Amino acid sequence: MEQVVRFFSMKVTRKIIPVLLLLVYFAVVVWFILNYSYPPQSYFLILLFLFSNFPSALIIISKKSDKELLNELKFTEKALRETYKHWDSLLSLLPQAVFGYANNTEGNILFVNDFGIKLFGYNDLEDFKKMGYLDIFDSSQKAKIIAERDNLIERRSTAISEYVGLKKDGTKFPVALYSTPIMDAENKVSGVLGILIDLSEVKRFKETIDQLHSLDKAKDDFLNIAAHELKTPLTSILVVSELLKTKTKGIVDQEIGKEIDLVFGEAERLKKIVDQILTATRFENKHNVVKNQTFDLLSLIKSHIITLNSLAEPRGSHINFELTDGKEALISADPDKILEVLNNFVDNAVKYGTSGQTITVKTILSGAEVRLEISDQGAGIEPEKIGRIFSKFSQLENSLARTQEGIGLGLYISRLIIESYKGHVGVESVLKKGSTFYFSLPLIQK
Amino acid sequence: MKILVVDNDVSIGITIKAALGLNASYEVVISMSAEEALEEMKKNEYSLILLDFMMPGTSGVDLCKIMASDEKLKNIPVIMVSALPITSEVFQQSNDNFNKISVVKGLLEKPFSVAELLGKVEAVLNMNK
Repeated sequence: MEQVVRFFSMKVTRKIIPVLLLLVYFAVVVWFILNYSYPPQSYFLILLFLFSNFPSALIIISKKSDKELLNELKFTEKALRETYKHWDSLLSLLPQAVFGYANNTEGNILFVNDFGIKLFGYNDLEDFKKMGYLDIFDSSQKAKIIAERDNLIERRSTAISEYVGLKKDGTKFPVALYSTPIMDAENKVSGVLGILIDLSEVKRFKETIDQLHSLDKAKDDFLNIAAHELKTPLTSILVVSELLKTKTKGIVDQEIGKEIDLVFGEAERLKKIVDQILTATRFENKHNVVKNQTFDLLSLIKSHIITLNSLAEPRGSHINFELTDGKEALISADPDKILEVLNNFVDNAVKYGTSGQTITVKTILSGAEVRLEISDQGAGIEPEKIGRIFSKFSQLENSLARTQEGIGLGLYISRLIIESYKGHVGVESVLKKGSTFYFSLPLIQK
Repeated sequence: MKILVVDNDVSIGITIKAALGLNASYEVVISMSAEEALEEMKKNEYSLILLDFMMPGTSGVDLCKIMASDEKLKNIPVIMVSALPITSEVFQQSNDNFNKISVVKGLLEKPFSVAELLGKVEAVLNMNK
């Protein structure tokens, strides 16, 4: 059978001659049968003879010559050499130490790639090979390494562990070691193959990231504590200046009255900033208690028109309301928080718009959500700033160029509020034409 | 009507006293610690206590517990004054505790306005009538 397979797998050119020979053989036999009359039963015998010889014929014709065998061996050897070279270059190129050590008590190093030699600070392969595998680790870990190696060999499995590596000059460094047993032809463990990764950089990155995280947390904590600490003195300033304002009305001259108003007004502004910092921190720490109720957004805006106008008109803006008529937009949220966002957006439109502009407050009901757009006729936002506009302290990024009051938490808080109700915020802006800030919230189906 | 303000921060005591001064019927006394307040409550009869949430030594919450278990003091209403936001989780949890402490009848978050202070005081006093 093997011969049949080999015959058919042979090159076509090599098949031609034996096939031709066979055909001639057949032709001669047939010629004999036709030209000389044999009794019919002898045909059967002749055919039987023919077919019984066919496999042996195949064996003979498909047998390889010594020359052919030698060529094949040379070819295989060449292929092996090439493969070995490829793997060897790959090993030298690998930015990780790859090494093998013998399965004996000394654990002699059998091979190591270039990276491994450099990593451990040895001169060359011979220099490295003088070591046992235990010598490339910190001596304090000997017991652990031996135990893990024995376990690995016994179970014939792959292991990943972290150790402390030891360079030739005595420097210690963190490493991750991947190891697996090497089997010989008899399926016995002849050694262990290891890939060793230098974790120094990773550890350094991790430490830096941890440091940055704790710095970030310290900053948040500081802001939180500072804001809380401000609340008590702020209470006194607010209450006392308000009392002064009430008590001195009509008694003191206009100048002093204005000054008292200024103190009260600024205290209120400080209260707003403190509130913003605390609201942002509470959202970040998820300490906010979400109060949800179902209400009609359109009615809420309508009831708030006077307040919004009072925000805009003193500063030379007019608001044009384009609210969807005769419909309801039921959402589930805290109405006070939604009003905070609306106030924020309108306040921004007023601050960044031009005097005499028209601000448009528009609602769009589409499918499963309601969208509220607030458009101004201001200077617009530069494209490179637009991506960060809803991030924390966006105003502080270029402090010297700040044109408006505030610390840049308003839009950030607005985003956190809207996102906490599964909605989203956004802005579209054209330079020198104006910006449209919007938020959309999922509608509650009745 | 006698009102006792308990706060270790002098300025808050003075501030609250000044604001409550707008109502001529209120007579305000300031204590700077829970211990001082207890002494004061034994000496005089008070209609309302405005109490700081966090104080060194005996805290506001502890003082409330002492009051609740005292036959003579358990009927005096308390308004807790705090810099912690009412919407915060910490305050909500304390709030649950407050609900268990019968004497606490109201909460006031710093910074508050004159109107908020007067409104809250009036509401709690009316509640206790």
